[in-house]
Amino acid sequence: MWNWLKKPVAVHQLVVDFEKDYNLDKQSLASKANYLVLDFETTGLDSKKHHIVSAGWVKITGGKIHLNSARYQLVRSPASVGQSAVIHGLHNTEVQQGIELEDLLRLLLQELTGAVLVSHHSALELNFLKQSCQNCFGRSPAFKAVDTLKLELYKMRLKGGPVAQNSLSLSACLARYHLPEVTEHHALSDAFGCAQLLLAQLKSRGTSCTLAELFQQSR
Amino acid sequence: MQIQEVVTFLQQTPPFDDLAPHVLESLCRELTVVYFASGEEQQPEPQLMLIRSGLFALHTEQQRLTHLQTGDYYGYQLLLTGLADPDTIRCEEDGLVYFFPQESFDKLRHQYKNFDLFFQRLFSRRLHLYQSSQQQNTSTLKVADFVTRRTVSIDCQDTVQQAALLMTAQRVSCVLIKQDEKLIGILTDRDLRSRVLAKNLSASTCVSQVMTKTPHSIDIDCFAFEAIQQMSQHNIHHLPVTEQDKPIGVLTTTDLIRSQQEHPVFLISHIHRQHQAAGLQAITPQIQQLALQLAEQHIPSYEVSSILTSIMDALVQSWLNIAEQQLGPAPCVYSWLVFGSQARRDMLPSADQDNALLLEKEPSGAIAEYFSALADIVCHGLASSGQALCDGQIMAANPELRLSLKGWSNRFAKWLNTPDPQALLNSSIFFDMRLVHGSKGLFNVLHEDVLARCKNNELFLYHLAKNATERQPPLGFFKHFLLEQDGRQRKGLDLKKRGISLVTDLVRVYALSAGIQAVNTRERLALLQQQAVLTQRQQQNLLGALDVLANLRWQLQAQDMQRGRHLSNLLDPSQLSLLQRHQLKDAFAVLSDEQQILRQRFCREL
Repeated sequence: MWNWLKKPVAVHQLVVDFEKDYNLDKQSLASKANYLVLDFETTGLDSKKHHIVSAGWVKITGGKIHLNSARYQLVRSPASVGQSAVIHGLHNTEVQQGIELEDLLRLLLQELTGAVLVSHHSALELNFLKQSCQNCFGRSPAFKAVDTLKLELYKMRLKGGPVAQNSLSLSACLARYHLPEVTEHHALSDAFGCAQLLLAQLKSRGTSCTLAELFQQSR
Repeated sequence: MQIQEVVTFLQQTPPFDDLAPHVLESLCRELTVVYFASGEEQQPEPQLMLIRSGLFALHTEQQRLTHLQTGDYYGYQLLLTGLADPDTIRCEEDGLVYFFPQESFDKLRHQYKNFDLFFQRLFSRRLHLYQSSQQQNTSTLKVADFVTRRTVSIDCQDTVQQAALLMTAQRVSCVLIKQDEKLIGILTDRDLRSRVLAKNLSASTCVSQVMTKTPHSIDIDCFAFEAIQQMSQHNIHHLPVTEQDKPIGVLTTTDLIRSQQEHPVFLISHIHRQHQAAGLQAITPQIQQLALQLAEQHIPSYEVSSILTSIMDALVQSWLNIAEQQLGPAPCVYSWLVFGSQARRDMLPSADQDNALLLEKEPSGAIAEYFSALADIVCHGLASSGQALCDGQIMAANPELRLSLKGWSNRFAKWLNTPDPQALLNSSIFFDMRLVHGSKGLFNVLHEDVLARCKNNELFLYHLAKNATERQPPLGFFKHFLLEQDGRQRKGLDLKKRGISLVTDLVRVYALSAGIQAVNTRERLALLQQQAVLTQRQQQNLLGALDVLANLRWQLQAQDMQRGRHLSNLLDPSQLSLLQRHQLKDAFAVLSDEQQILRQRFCREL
């Protein structure tokens, strides 16, 4: 009975609807915006060859991280986790318990409505998200993301001086703001760490900072 | 899905640390996290704030009240009372704050009594009265864990021979005597020997004639250490155990020794059995080991002190026996007195000697020589048993402290009637005194004389109260700890000089003003409340503060002992858990308040 869902036309509608509903006012204040802070663990870095194995996210509204919005999803991967298990600690048996990639995307599209996507080094999340939508729905919405790593780099370049290697890793950034450490390479922990980092970065930019500026600095 | 980092933090933060993991995990989903930049302010909201990182300050319009840091709470005032405080909270160093909605807070308060209690105490600044339930649970074995439910009993009309036959048949060392299911006496192996055979009584003697009537007993729900305490205090080896006032078994020293080799009861009777100096000199390691074992069992410090004092008392008595064996019987009646911590029964292993002799006759000629020799043997003997000689020469070995009743009476009169502050400070230790061995009558005359002179002596009490409030608890203006250095260049909080002593000194003033005979601080407090000198709230506050301080010091010294270090009173506050830090601050705050009350009561201009 779910066959109709698999038809590219019906699913394509999902992307169309999302694009229709998704209209952010870029001139609105960054401190008041809604954010979805997302982290993927993957089998590798290439979105064409590799797969998402887990996703964690948490939402920020009105400058507060709401822990009841925290979600963690294992994703059934068509290929073996291979050597990537060394990094994220997830094994094939666990990953096979996960949901289908398409279901994850449906969830994410729903959650992203009216929210700004945020990640640390967002290129990875964006690439995987776009590639996955392409594969599942035939087309991907034009996602845009705020990148906490780039926001940090922007601040460091303003100050001048060399940017040391590793000084932009999530743990290094958290330490710089005296924020508590998180367990690295756990999708939800990383998303939570990234969310705390974003709160700190927003505070340091003052209340007049707009979303447009954040996107600008994320490039 | 819960975030592990948040759960882990709550697991380490009282009172959340008492909650079950699944409760914490669902609680985590209810909170929100906010980042504060320095300079930001937060008006009171009906939410509980828990500081995760950074530094915050609490302000009224006029002044800064206190600092809040990791693990501190704010907002509970509004949640508990519905009344907004006139203060605001301002961030001084960037940090994170967890917010719990009112519903979550209320739900937890209703479900978990201890959670509610924590915030009630925090609100009334009486956190030193809060005990985490984990502490309560782990605190030691109960009598029920030791005792075998089995009683061997006979009727009080039976003969001692029947008792002996029964004991042999049942292979027990004591028999209970019951009347209408109630315990009315106990008869032991030793009683049969010393009260029947040695006295040449016939086998048909009635047991009621030779039994120990209304023996000490203990309820099955009591803690094991309370049983130990009773047995060591009365020097008995059989303790009947009751359940709803009916005897159900007997606890023997063997039961206790079976569970642990070094036992107070065992050690005390061991000391009493020694008639040679060599046996007593070898006792130090055993005392140390016992102290360590008590530490591991989480026995409250006042119990430990009480047990250690009993042991030290036994040592004094044994050394006096040895001295009398060597020197022959004393030429006159005497009393062996102890002062300070030994008198108050709050000794720790590091305590040194404070003792003196009270003599029936003037110390001159042969009498002086005899007691000089006696005091030498005992004081140096105690030193060889591990109780160090007193640096301040407050020892019976000092001829100044071997006086007749008249001599002592005059000495006290001098301190009392012309109090020179410095001399009074040095002599305050003498006002806590207790008899350890010798004539009780002689001691009572002196003690009553001193108490009568103290009571209503306003000038004396004025100076005593002034001395007692000279040193203040180490809390700074912003409620931060003030550290100091000791001779060994360690830095920390002096729990004795700026904590426990302050309580002792303060309570002593009240006790002397009311003519209270007890010297133990806890007993003094109880009596002061009974006589309405202190309110119940004051008494509870002081007792709670004393317990917090004494338990921390005991922990500290137990650690030092384990690592073979010099025993210290200096506490490094960074070693404290969050709860301990809160409790210590509240304990110090109580002392500050009570010192002020004391000054108002006794130090108004005369």
